[in-house]
Amino acid sequence: MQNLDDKFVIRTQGLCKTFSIGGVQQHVLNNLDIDIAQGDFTVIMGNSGSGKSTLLYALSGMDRPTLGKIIFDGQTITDFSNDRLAKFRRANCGFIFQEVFLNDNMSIMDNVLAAGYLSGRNRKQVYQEACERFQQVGIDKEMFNKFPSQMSGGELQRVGLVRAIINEPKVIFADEPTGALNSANSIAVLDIMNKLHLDGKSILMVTHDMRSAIRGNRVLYLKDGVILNEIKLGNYDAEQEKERLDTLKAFLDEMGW
Amino acid sequence: MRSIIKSHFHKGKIGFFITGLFIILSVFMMIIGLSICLGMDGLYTNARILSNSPDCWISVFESIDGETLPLFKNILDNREDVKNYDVQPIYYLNSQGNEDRENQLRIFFNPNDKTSYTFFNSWVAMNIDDESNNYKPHLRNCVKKDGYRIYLTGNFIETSLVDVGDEFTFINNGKEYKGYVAGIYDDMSRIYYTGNFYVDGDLYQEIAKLSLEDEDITYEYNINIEFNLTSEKANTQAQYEIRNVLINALTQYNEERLAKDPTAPIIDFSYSMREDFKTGTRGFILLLGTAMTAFAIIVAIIVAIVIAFLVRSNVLDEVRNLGVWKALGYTTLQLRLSYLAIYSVINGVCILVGTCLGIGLMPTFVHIITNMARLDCSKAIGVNVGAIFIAILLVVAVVASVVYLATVRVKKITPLSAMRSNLETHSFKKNRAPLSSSKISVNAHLGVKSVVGETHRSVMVVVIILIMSLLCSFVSVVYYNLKVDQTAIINMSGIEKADYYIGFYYEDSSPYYDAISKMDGFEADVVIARASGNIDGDYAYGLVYENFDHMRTNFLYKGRYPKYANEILIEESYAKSKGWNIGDTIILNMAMDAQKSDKSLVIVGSFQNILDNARFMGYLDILDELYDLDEYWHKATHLLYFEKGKMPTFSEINYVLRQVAGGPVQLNGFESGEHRIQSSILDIVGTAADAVMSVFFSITAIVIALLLVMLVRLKLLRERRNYAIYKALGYTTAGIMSQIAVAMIILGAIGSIIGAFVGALTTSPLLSLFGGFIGAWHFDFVIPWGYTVGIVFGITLLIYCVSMLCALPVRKIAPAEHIKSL
Ligand SMILES: Nc1ncnc2c1ncn2[C@@H]1O[C@H](COP(=O)(O)OP(=O)(O)O)[C@@H](O)[C@H]1O
Ligand SMILES: [Mg+2]
Repeated sequence: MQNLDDKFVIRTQGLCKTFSIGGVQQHVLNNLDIDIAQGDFTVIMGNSGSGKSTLLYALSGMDRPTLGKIIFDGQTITDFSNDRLAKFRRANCGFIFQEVFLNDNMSIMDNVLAAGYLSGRNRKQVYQEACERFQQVGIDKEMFNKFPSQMSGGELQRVGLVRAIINEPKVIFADEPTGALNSANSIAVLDIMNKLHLDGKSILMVTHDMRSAIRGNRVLYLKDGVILNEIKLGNYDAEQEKERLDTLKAFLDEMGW
Repeated sequence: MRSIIKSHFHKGKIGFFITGLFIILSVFMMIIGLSICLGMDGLYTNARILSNSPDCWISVFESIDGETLPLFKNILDNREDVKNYDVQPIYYLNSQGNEDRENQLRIFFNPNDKTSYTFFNSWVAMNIDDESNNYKPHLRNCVKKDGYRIYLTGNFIETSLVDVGDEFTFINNGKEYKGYVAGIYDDMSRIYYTGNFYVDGDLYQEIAKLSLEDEDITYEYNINIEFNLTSEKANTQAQYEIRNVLINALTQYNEERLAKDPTAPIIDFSYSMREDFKTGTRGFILLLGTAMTAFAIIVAIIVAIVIAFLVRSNVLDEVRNLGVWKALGYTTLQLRLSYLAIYSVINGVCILVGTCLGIGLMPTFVHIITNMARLDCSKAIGVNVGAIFIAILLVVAVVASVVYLATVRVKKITPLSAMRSNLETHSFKKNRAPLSSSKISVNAHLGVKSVVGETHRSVMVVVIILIMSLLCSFVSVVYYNLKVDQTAIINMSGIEKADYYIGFYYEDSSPYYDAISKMDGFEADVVIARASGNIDGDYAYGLVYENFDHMRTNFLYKGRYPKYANEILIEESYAKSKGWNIGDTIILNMAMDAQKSDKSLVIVGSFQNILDNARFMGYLDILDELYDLDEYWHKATHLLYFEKGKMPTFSEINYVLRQVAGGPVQLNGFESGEHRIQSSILDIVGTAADAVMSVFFSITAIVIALLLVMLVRLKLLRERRNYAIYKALGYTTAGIMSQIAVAMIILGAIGSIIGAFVGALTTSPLLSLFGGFIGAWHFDFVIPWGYTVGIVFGITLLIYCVSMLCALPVRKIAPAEHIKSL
């Protein structure tokens, strides 16, 4: 068990999520078992409405499953209280969403620091790190004091990325991070994610875009509330883009995409 | 258009609800306040008619069969302004000063009850069953029991331990007549005459029989006079005028009699008028009315501020939708009118509710007035149609103009705004209080950020809390000085705060004063007397002191205390109205006593008196030639002074006096200065102060609580998504709640600190500015800093509690629900 926990950063047992709308029950996640390995760039694919986001938010401790157990970094987070979960997320989870969800009333730097200062680390150091991360994603010093409303979608998603990694989380969760971006911006964001993966970060991304999906080294296919199958692609290499796309396409065709 | 209005409504429910409550509060208080202010004159006219009071009456100290009645009748018959007058026979029972009659001619109330035992040895009996009395008073609170009936004034009931239904025993030469207090009689011109009792016909006949043999029971008469002047002002003038006419006639009559027979006794009379009731009550009724109106206006201002805030922020939030509406072809005016429409609907509903509340609660306030005035005013004043009209007009005007002005921004919105709403609204923003410079906890800092980021909201909250804490501070300063430390009020009262006021019935009281002067810590005894006369043709009543060397109350407004017998102090308002200044000379004439006694006196200063109605203060020597001052000294009231901390108790003094008398002491009044002041109007003011203070504080608490409920709920609505992100990032519920509370506490603390301290410091100057009309020119109130700090602390605590409570729904914000991208 100890070994497995070391290898897998997230494991689930019998995960179920049921929504009931107007008395009608909809089983979105159906007795689902999944293991996310440490250091993997895991991609979850599936049709729209298949429950990808639901799964992602359950795994990240933002939402609670109806039934089942989630073991995150050796801790059973499904037993946590809301506050304990919140504190857990601070240290362990970074988030990137399709819509960036920055606070419009604060500068982008403050948006990042509002997450970074929560960790309780030395503030100077956090600030320094934020500056460096911004530099890495190509956002200059002059822009630090800008408001989200003054920036483009691509820039905002990069700010979101900085916010996601400022606390050095165990896992970065990404829900359709390129869904709202044009292709150039998408590539920039995905490139950064690949760089983070190379640096040893665990990433869990949900997408229904093949060009995004090939960035991962492992792709899972979600259907009818369970993981139907998976494919290992190996680490991303820009030069093998075409081959990876073909492999994934074949896999998806098999899955009935 | 209708859909726009509907959409406004759904988006701003909480705001509308709270604004609505404020409008209701404002309308309701304004209707009551204005009804009281506007109904003042009517109140006095109606109360006169309802109580059937005469406008004035004289009580002549001569038998109804004497010679003065034709004299007065002749004068009254020939006056055109006298509508009617009525001669009312009365009996005057007086054993005062007759040491042999001790316990022989007295009326006791609650004779068997030590705690409420009260007696009179000088009183007037009037016949309530005399059907020929045209001014038979209105009776109320009547009860039925066995025995003789007696009726007292409401003022007597309020200021004594005697109540309706209590027993009384009237004793004459050992014979007892038992009965009970059967009710209250309302007579405006007799209300302050404590010893004037209406008795039933049977007891009246018994007293009539006794009077035949008892020379201490004298048969006299009152004349009740009513004028045909319906104008209150003219009527009041007539009340003053007739007194001078009658005084002059009687003076002339006495002089003629004295010329014929130097030993003939002087015939005197006492005079009272309805105006006394007016001056006694007008101040606090008006105070109640203006306080209510002022509060209503303040709440209306708050309504204006809140609406301005709500409308402005709604326009900012809705730029996109408004742009779409414009794209669809709506004009700026139409969109502005849509805001006006929704607020008019809410305003209309709330005005209706407020008006109903005002009409419904008016009787409660009339009841308060009745209690304070001590005369039944329940039917004399009611809701004033004009007041309703003004209240509605004012609130409608405020709401309409504020809504219209607050929507100017709609003009700038173009259909394009719909596309780039964010740019339009946020481009002007500056990143205030950046987190990178933060030294405090992240949650506290985010609270600070919301304070400096949402300037409109912050200014509104600070202004409203400032206003409310300023008011609270003002009220608390007044309260403190009325109830806790009364030095300032006493200085304005016109009543000297000697340790004791004492008087004896002895021809020679010097042994008693000698004994007192040997007591430990004795400082001085000073004679004080009341004097009445004419100044400059006006009737004036004053206080004369043996000297001013020991004064503890500082009445002086201007100038100095008299040093010589020919110097005098004049009441400031009176001096102002006459245009007299320090150094002027006035003539004081004591003609009431039927002797020519013109004295020329120099004004050396002025004083203020809010509790006493004395118009002048001078040396006892002013009475010289009218009285033998040496002899007078023995029976007059003396002020006793002891060294600080050495004031003896009642029983200690009593013990010393009984040693001298070798038994019971014939006292003509013995009370502490403290008690004398307390028993003046201060007790009315005091009870009113409690009520006003609690009403003010609760309204303040309600206003602030409602404001916070609105702000926090609006905040939750608008920031739901941001809070969800915070939660995703790892913020806890408590952390987010504390962000909200910190922001509110900062604003509350700023507002309440400024408000409370400014309020504390400006109370006295403000009161001095406006206090002149009740004779109070210079307020020197002690500032209770403890209260001030308490207000700041209390408001901040309230803000903390309310905002934490309202922020509780943060618990329910689930991050996944708000940010999941489907
Ligand atoms: N809070 C919710 N209440 C009810 N139904 C929900 C809720 N969230 C998601 N669903 C339903 O669950 C299903 C899966 O949603 P989601 O996980 O968002 O799918 P996707 O794979 O597109 O991200 C959808 O049919 C959606 O309608
Ligand atoms: Mg999704």
